[in-house]
Amino acid sequence: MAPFEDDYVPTLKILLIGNSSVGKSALMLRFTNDMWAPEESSTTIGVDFKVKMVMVGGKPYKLTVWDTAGQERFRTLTKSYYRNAQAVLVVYDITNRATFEELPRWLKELEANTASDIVKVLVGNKLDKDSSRAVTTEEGEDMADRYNVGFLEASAKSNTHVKECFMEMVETIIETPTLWGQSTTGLLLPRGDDILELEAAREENGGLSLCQC
Amino acid sequence: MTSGEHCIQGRLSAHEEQFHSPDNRQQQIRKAVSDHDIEFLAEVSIKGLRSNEERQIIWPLLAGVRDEDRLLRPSWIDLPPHKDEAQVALDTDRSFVFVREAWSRKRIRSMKVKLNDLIIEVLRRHPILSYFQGFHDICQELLLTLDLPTAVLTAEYIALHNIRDTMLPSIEPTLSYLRLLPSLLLKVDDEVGRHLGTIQPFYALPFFLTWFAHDMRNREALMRLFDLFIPTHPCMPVYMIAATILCRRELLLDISESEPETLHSELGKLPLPFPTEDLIHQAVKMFNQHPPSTLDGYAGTPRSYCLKTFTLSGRTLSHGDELLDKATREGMAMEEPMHRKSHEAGMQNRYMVIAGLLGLATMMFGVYGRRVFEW
Repeated sequence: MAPFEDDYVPTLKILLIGNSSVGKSALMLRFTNDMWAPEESSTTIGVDFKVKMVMVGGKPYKLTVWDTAGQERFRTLTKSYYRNAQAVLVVYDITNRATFEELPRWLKELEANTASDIVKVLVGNKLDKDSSRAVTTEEGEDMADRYNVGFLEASAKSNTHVKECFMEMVETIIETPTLWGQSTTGLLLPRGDDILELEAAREENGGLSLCQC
Repeated sequence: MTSGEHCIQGRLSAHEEQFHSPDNRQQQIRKAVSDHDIEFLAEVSIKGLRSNEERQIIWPLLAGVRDEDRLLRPSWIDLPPHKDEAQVALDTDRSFVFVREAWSRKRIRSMKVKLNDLIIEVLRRHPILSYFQGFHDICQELLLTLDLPTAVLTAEYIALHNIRDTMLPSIEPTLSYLRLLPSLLLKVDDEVGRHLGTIQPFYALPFFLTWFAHDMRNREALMRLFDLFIPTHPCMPVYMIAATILCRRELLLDISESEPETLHSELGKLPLPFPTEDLIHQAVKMFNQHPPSTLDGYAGTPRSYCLKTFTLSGRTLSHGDELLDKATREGMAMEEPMHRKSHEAGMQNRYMVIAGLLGLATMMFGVYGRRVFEW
């Protein structure tokens, strides 16, 4: 169990990644607000997040769930949110084969940008549409085994395995002492120095043509 | 004044006096339309258009749409598909969210199809545009206000001449706009600027990219913001974001700096109710006092970016394509060495020194933009 003061509420950071339209926001909304509102759901632009308080072993935890845009062009930005995430859900749509085939890219990117002990779970969403399934459960399991990550199939719509998925992640985080090597408070957002290097390089290169000044 | 900081001065107050009667306003606008007096129409638009009828005439003109653009063009359907069409379909399928209660399902379905056609036509006609999630929000507002052919043309001009920097292959140029925000906040309200010091301005991304269309549920307010953004510098949304932050300064200052996620969450919301005119007034005032060229981070951006080339005059689609092509090449040339160097350890300090020196040089040479117009 992580070493906490009695009145201290630890903050956990969970990140959702995966292709566009696989249901990342729907999973987040189902878990944090127990809502299913497809007619209200719009594209996530950049990064969105919600907070939920949970109790585990009689202790409160503050969960920040970070939802990211699926479009390729936002990846530079969303990657900077990997920092200090204790758990990541990599989501695909079981009815859309292309979102499954993109998984190696997401999983490799995840490996390259996060600590090795971070909790990773592969989630095949839209289990309610089992009849139009394009990826078998076995294929999902194989993929998860190959990258050594957890696996389950879920549905934000029918509220299947959503709570279980998040809560198991939370429990695993709490049981993994190495994820508590540093206080998470105040470190949940990308730090300035994550992009400073890029920015400075840009100043140098673009700065050679400062003729507007 | 830099070329990007469009200068409209003085005349508005004189014209405002003549606008006391609605008839007179209509007359003046009609005359400006027939004279193609874009400067005057821009002034009127910044002050606020009053009806859909006015917007249907004035938005396309301000964007740059010309009569000859309406001549028969080869159908877009026969043009080669654009690389981003699959993404467009995913996003337009999730559009018209805010109207769902007022509209029938059939109507929503038909508008989604129109929106998809609109965006695909824009992309196929200008294949080097890169679609971003959020462009569909801007196009949705255009489609709600204008007829489809006019919305297509207006979207083409806006894509090429207003928001070109956000439609380049990389997201870096977009982020360079967001990075102006902390500098602006520090200049305008040091206390708030310092309070938000550790928070990256990524919370502002949907506001900036979509001209607030992604989050604004009040359609009147949204149209009013488009009145402002269409004829003004592409940085104006950054000033508008600053205004929405500063109008909640006490609330934000009350949130501890040790709770960055709470601050991030609050910053990602719009003030409710949304005091549109006050905020526009503040945004324009800040723009006049601290134009983009005086903000940290402006100097390092390429010359071909809209940030530096923005103008309302002499716009054509083919010139827009040329600028887009140039900006794409300049952006890529700039990012190529950037990516290479970003892997080289130990270089960071050198960059910081260079960036610092450049910033100092910029200050010394004095980049002072002129005013948008007198409020």
